[in-house]
Amino acid sequence: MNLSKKNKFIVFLLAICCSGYVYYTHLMKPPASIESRQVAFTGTAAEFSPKVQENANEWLNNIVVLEGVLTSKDENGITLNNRIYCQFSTRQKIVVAEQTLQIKGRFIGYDDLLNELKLDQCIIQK
Amino acid sequence: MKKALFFLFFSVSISGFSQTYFTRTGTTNFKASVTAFEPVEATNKSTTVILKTTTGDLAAQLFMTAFQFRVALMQEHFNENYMDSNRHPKAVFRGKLADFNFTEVSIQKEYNLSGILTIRGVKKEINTTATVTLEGDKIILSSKFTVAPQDFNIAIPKIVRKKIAENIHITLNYELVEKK
Repeated sequence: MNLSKKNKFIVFLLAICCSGYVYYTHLMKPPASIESRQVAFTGTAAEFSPKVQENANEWLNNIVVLEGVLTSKDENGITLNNRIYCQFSTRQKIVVAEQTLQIKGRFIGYDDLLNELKLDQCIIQK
Repeated sequence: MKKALFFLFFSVSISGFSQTYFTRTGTTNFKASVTAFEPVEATNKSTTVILKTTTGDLAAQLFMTAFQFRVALMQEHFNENYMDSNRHPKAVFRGKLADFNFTEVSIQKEYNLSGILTIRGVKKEINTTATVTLEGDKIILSSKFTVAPQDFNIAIPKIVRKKIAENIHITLNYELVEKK
C-alpha cells in the first residue's frame, strides 16, 4: 500500500497522540486513592492489633476498616484504643469526644518509638 | 522499704526532669530530581520524632511506604525495586543536637546535629545543622542533608541512572509538642 505524504503525516501524528495518551493515562497515573482500593481487613481495632503483632510486614500498605474507641486526638489525626494512630490526609478539627468510630485507612507500620500502630490517609466512616 | 522509697524517688525525679517533645506527623522530604527529567521526589508526612529537651537526644523513624509520590509507578518502583520496603519497612535516625539548651530556643537557633541514619539495615553517619525555633508551645525543628544511593547499597539500573540525581537532598520539618 502506498501512502501519500499527507497520509503518512496523519498516521505519524496519530501515533504520537496515542503514545502521549498512554503515557499520561497509564505511566503518569497518580497513586490510587484510598476510596478506590480494596479493603484487606474489616473488624475492630482490638482484633486487628494482635494480628499485626504476629506479622506487621504482611499488612503493610493494606487498606483496613477498623472500629474502635477514640482515646485521643490532635489536629492531624486520632488514636483508637490508645494503640492505633490514624492520620488524616488533611488537618481537620474532630469535634467528637470519647465514642466509638469506624475509620478506613492504610496501614503503614508498627511504630516502636511510641509503641503504636500507624494508619495514614484515614477517613472517618461513622 | 528503703529500696522501694529509693525507686519511687528515683522515678519521680526522672519524670520531673526529663522533658520530651514529640510528633507523629513530621514531614520528611527527599529530592533526587535531575533537570529536564520527570521530578523524582516524595514526601513523608508520618514521621515520628522524639526529642529529649534535657539532653538534646533525638530519635526519628519513618515508614518507607508512607512516602507519597506524584506518580503511582514511581512510588511502586521506589518501594519494590530500590528500598525493598517489605523487608526493610523503616528508616531510623538516632542522634543528638550538640549543646542543646532548651532555655535558649525562645528565638531561632542553629545546632549541630549528628547521628546514625539506618536505611535498609545499612548505617550511615550524618553530620549536619538543624534550626530549632520555639513557636508558642511547639518546637519547630528543621534540617537538611545529602545522602547517596550507594551509601545504602541501593543499585540504580543503568537505564534510569541519568534520571536520578547522584546526591539525594533530604529535608526535615518537624513540629514537636510536649509529650504528657
